[in-house]
Amino acid sequence: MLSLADIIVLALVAVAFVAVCVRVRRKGSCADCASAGVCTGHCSSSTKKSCPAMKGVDAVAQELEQSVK
Amino acid sequence: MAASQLHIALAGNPNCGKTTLFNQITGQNGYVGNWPGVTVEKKEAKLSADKSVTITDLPGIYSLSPYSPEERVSRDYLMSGEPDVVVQVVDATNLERNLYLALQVIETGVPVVVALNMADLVEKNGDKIDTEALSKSLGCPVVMISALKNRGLDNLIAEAKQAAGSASGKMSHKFDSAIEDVLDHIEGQLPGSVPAHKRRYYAVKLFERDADATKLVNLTKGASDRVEELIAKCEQDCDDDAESIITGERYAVIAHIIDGCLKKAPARMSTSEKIDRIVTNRILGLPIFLLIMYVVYYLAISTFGTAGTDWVNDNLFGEGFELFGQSFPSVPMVAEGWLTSLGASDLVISLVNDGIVAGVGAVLGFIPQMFVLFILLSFLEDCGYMARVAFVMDRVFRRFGLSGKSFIPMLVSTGCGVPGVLATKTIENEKDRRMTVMTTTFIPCGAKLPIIALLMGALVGDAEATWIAPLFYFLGVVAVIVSGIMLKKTKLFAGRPTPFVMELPSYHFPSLKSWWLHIWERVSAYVKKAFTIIFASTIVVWFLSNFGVASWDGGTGAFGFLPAMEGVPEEFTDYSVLAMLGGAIAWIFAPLGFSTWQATAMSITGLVAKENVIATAASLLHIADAGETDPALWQAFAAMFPSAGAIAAFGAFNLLCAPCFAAMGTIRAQMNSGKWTAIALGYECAFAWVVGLIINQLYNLIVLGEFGLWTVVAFAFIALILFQLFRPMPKGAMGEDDGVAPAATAA
Repeated sequence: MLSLADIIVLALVAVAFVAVCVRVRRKGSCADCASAGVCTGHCSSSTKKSCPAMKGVDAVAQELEQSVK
Repeated sequence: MAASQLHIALAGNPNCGKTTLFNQITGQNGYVGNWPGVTVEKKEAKLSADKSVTITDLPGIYSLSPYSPEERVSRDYLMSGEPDVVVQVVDATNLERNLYLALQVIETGVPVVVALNMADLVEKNGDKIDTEALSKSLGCPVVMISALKNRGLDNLIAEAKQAAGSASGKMSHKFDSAIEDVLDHIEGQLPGSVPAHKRRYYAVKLFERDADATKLVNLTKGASDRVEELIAKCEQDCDDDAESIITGERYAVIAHIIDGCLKKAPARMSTSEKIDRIVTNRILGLPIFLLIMYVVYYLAISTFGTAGTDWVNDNLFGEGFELFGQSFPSVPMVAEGWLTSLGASDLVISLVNDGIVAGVGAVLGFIPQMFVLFILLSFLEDCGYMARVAFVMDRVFRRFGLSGKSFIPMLVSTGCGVPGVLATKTIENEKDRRMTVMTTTFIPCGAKLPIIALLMGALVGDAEATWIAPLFYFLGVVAVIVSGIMLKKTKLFAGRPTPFVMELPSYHFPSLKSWWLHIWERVSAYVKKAFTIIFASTIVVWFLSNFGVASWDGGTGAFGFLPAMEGVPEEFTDYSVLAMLGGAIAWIFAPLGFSTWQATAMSITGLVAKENVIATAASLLHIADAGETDPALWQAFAAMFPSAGAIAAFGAFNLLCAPCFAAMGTIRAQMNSGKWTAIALGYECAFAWVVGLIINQLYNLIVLGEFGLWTVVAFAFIALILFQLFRPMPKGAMGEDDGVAPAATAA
């Protein structure tokens, strides 16, 4: 039989689990937006603009050319 | 021209200081970017000193030939009639290359002012440019400026305003008389609707057989035939194609102009050039890159990184720690104490401690190693070395018929495979792009680092085998090259590689801010993943590994929480749902030496996120502190495998097989085809399986002296791979002339 403490902890874990699942559903399972973008299209356009991956090979190469970004 | 309507366009090569100039004269401070393959942004702003003047910053380009979206957009804008004057920004330290575009812009007939940027560097180098002579040669005003130091900008704007008032640009340069004759004849064939100042431009474009210009001019059939006849005769006389003839003529004109206006100081080699002589050396370049990556992985996994990881695992997730003379309990201690005091049952304590804390904690424990890795990788990127690596690797790739452009996504993939795959979108050649998408995730991303560290511990324990971790990185690089060569020789991917042009910047010490930003972005993303997808996965894995059917001898056959069941054996997880699921497909990995359900479960959960391999291992084997120096913990992991060969095969399979869900989704988006996504993921898994098989079977044969049917299969695969690697490129596979495109250009 589960105690009250069990129910509370399990409820907390369940809520966190559901929240994570919703986030993953909405934003994708990759959290590496900072260096890339999850690229499920949820990013704001300003985030996309600063995302090196969105620029493609040429722009990444250009950034490397410019050395210090 | 009314001042209120003045439009000034800024044109120039990439990295010539155009954006710096734009920001200086407009007061803007934003990043101005090109977005090749999608849209090309031209940024507009008002001149700070005169709001009636609009400045348009065009994408940085090398020529006006419509080969790239940037070139097309720039040319269309220049020819649209919108700009009243073009300020052609020229890197004065590299006149020869920059004047090529300048000549083309002058040929358009639009009024042009040439801004010789980086005047300060020219002075510093001791060079002298005769701007008057240059102006006379080009037929347009020439102004020396330094956008960075805000020198000469007022003069430039004044000249631009004055030039805008002139009816059209005047072209002074002339090609060889034979070519000029042909161009004159072509001009004569143009319809009267083409304005006088643009006739020369269209004549040159028709000579180059520019499809857009041909369509726009719309010559009559007779005129078109006459023009083609003239071009063909000229090509025959010059023994070259029309486009190359014009290119050669432009460079001849440039050489003549430079002779008359540039006095170079005696050449002195800069520090960057001195370094480049070594690091981009034809023979030394690749070994130096390998050595640097060896040092990077050695420092991250075997030295500083490990010390940090050990501390975290021993103290934060181990037995607690002391700070400023005070004792602090570890996270599992705190969690257990808190749950016990609340009166939680064993089930809940197990879920929190053995599931969540062990799984998430195992992943978090690797942060110090990730941190060191990203410090070093970000430094290499920001200091300018990675640009050299792209150049060096282009040489290697091109030798095998691959494009150097494919290396950039791989460089990005060392952080994360998702941006690596995404970055492929501007590789123009579709076959090269698809092939790069298929192979770029072979490069170990940050998430695979913990797997490498765990494998290293399991393989050699605390022995000083510093080569293990870099070896797994190089396995990825070799997998890319081998796959590239093999795939390129198939019909699906045959073709001439995409040309790759790259400038090599001067070496810099990175600004601390940008350096830190890169490190923080990557490490924070790793932490974010630990608390999201890894957190959710550990809960699922805990449930699957703790619930099952009591099917052991004397068991009731009931389904439930295994540890609480009566008469449960010590290895209760063998009766769990996860054991059933893993066991059902474990036979696939038997030839690779790891047919246990635990190893299979780790590989499968690794498809959700690669860190899950560690989180699942921690949850199943209670090895949250896998990185520490206690060999017993590695032994728990190693005990799942019959031999070191099987451990290495497990590592190879997990590092090379299909990437995480996020990367798979990105592959689907980039391929834009279910069939191609299946081909990509299928190839990755099959290749990983074959590599794992070869490693395990060779180990069994050489070290253990075992020979069997799978050894024969492994040798058959080796023979097949070697055949595909060394057989000649099929006829016609490289394109029309079967030649290899020119190597990467580095300036």
